[in-house]
Amino acid sequence: MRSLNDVERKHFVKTVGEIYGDHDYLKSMELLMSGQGRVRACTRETLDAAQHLKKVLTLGVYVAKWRKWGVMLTVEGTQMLQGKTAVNVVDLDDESAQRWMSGAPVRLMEWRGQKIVVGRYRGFLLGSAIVDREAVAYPQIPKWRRVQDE
Amino acid sequence: MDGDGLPALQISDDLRAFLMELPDIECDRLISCYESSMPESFRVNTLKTEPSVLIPILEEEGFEVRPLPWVRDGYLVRPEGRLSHSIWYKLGLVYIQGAVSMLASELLDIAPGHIVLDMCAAPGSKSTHIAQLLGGRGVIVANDVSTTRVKALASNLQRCGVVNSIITLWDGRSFGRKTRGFFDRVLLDAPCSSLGIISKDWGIARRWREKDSITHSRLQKSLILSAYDSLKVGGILLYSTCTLHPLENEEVIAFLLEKRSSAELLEVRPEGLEFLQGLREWAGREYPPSIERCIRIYPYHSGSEGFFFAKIRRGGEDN
Repeated sequence: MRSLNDVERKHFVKTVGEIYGDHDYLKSMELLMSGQGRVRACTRETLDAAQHLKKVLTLGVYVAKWRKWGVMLTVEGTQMLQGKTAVNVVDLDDESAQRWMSGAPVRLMEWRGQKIVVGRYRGFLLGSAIVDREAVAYPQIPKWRRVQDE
Repeated sequence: MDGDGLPALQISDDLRAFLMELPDIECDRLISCYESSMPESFRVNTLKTEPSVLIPILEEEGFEVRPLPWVRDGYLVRPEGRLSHSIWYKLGLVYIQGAVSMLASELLDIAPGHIVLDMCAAPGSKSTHIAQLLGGRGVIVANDVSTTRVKALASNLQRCGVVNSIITLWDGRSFGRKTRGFFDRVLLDAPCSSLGIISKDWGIARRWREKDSITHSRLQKSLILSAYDSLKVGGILLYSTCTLHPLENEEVIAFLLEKRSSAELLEVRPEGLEFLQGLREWAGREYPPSIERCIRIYPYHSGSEGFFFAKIRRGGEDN
C-alpha cells in the first residue's frame, strides 16, 4: 500500500470528476493504492497514526477501482458523493434496486449513452454499474454484500 | 425442572455449581433467559444516515422498531432475521449488534478527535460504533490477533464507511510495550468464557469447566496491563466481557489495580438499565472497595446479553 503521487492523484481526481461530476470530497482525503488498481481513502490523521503502529493491514476504506479506461467508484466511494452534485445518477424503483443490490443486470429506462452510472434508491447511492449498448447496467456489487434476489 | 430447581437445559456440573455459588443471582430467571432467543437489535450508522431518515423507511417496510433506552441510535427490531437480508444492512446504514454490547462504546466517553484502540476488535461491532461516535475525526485502531476473524472486521469497517480506521493484526499483549502512552481511549472487550450469551450457543453451558475461566483470566490479565500501558495519562480504558465469572471480571480488575498504582476505577452507571455492582469477594479473596464501581448486567436485567463493565482512568506515572 502506498500513497498516490502528485501526478497520479491529479489524474485520479480529474477522472472521478469527469465520470461522477463531484470530486471535491477527495481533496481532503489521503489516497492510497493497494494493489490491483484498488484505491483507498483515509484521513491525514489516520495516515499519521499508522506511522506509529506495527503490523498495519489496511487504512480507511476502498473507494475505487482504477482501470486503464476509467475509475469505478465502490458503494462507499459513491456514498461519499451523497448530497453533492453527482452526475450519471439513475433513479431505481423498488424492484430494480433489489436487482441492483443482488448484482443482477438492470435495464435502464432513461439512458443517455453513459458507460458508467450510479444507482440511487430512496436518496441513497448504491455504487457504480457498467452499461452496455443495450442500456443494461451491470452493478459492481461485491459478492459478500449482495442481497439474495427474490 | 430437576432437583436443583434448574430447568432441563444441559448444564455442566461445573457451571451448575458456579451459578449456585454466585451471590445475588436469580438462577431461575437466568436459566429462563438462557433458554429463550435474544431479541434482535441494531444501530443506525450515523456515518451514513440519520435515524430520522432511516427509521420511517424501515417502518414503512414492515419492521417494528423500538428505541433502546440506554444507547443512542440503538433499536430493537422485529421480525427477527429479516434486517440482515435487507438493502439497508448491505449498504451499511444499519449494524446488527447485541443490545448491551452497544453500551461498551458509549461508556468510553469518546469525543471527536480521540485516538482510540479496540484491542480485540473482530468482528468489528464496537469498532464501527466507536467510529460513529468519533464522527470522522480522530482515529480508530481496530486490532485482532486472528487472521480469519480480521476478514470480518475489514468487511464491517468497509461496509460502515469508516475512513479514519486502521486495521492491525497483532497480539494485543504487545501494544503496551510498543505503543506506550499513545491512545486517548482503549476498549478491551476481552476474549472470555461467554456465560452471558449462552442463549446464542447452548453448547457453552454444556462444555464450560471452571478451568476455562482460569485460562481466560490469565490471558485477560496480560491484555489489561497492555491495554492500560498503551493509554495516555488521563486516558480511559473500558474493560468488558460477556461472562459472569468473577475470575474473568473483578479478579482481572483487582489485578490491574494491584499492578498499576496510577489506575483509578471510575463509576459506571448506565441509565435505563438494571445492573448489580461488582462483587467485593469471590472464593475467599477480597477485592478493593472501589470494585463496586464496576457493573454486572445479567441477561434478565437487559432481556439480552449478560455483560461486565469496568471503566479505568490512567492517572500519573506508576510507583
